[in-house]
Amino acid sequence: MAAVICRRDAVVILCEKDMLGGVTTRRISISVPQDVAERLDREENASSYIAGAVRARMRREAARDVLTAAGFAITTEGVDRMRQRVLDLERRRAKHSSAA
Amino acid sequence: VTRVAVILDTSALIGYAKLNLAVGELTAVVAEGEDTLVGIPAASYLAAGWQLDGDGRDLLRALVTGADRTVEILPLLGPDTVQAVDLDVELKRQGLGHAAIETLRHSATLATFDPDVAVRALDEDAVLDLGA
Repeated sequence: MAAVICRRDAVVILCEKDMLGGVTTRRISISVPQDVAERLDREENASSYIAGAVRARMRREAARDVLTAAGFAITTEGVDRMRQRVLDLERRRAKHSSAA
Repeated sequence: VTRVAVILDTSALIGYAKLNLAVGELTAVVAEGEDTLVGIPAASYLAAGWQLDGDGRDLLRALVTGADRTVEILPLLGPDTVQAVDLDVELKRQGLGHAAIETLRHSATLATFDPDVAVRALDEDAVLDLGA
């Protein structure tokens, strides 16, 4: 089965479905900026790299959706402050464990 | 490979259900990590469930089902059960024993509104005071 979807900001071409390691995959052709293409050139498995990046973004979006639906008003500043607090604790633990 | 970076104890779960911003921000922080998870000890989830109304339990249910790639319930294993209940009784906090056990197991950070109690079972460096 083949199909072509055209959008103004991207080109997505569906070519075929396949199976890889028991997971249904779909071969697509995409256009990316030059710097992204150069980064992908260094990957042995660019498909895996892209899939991992997209899944990470899906994970973030799903969590944010849950938090928003619950009624949290999450801000970037608040998240940055909390990240710093967690990192500070992790660094202190690492320092103590390496000293022990 | 994912790692459990943060554990939510009973007080943190109740805080989440009451829309305490610190718990929401912490969940967002973990979600932004590529390989990190929030761990919810099963005993802490049970204890929070008993203390919340239906709306609060619905929010917790949505957290563990909707953000399931970020948040995971950690089972109470048989060999840990006796120690978990002993810790609960000693600390006078339901669910904190299992949370402390999982915090140690995963070398994680325990997020809690009861830091003064938690440090009786864990190092201060392992405890994040959500009320600070």
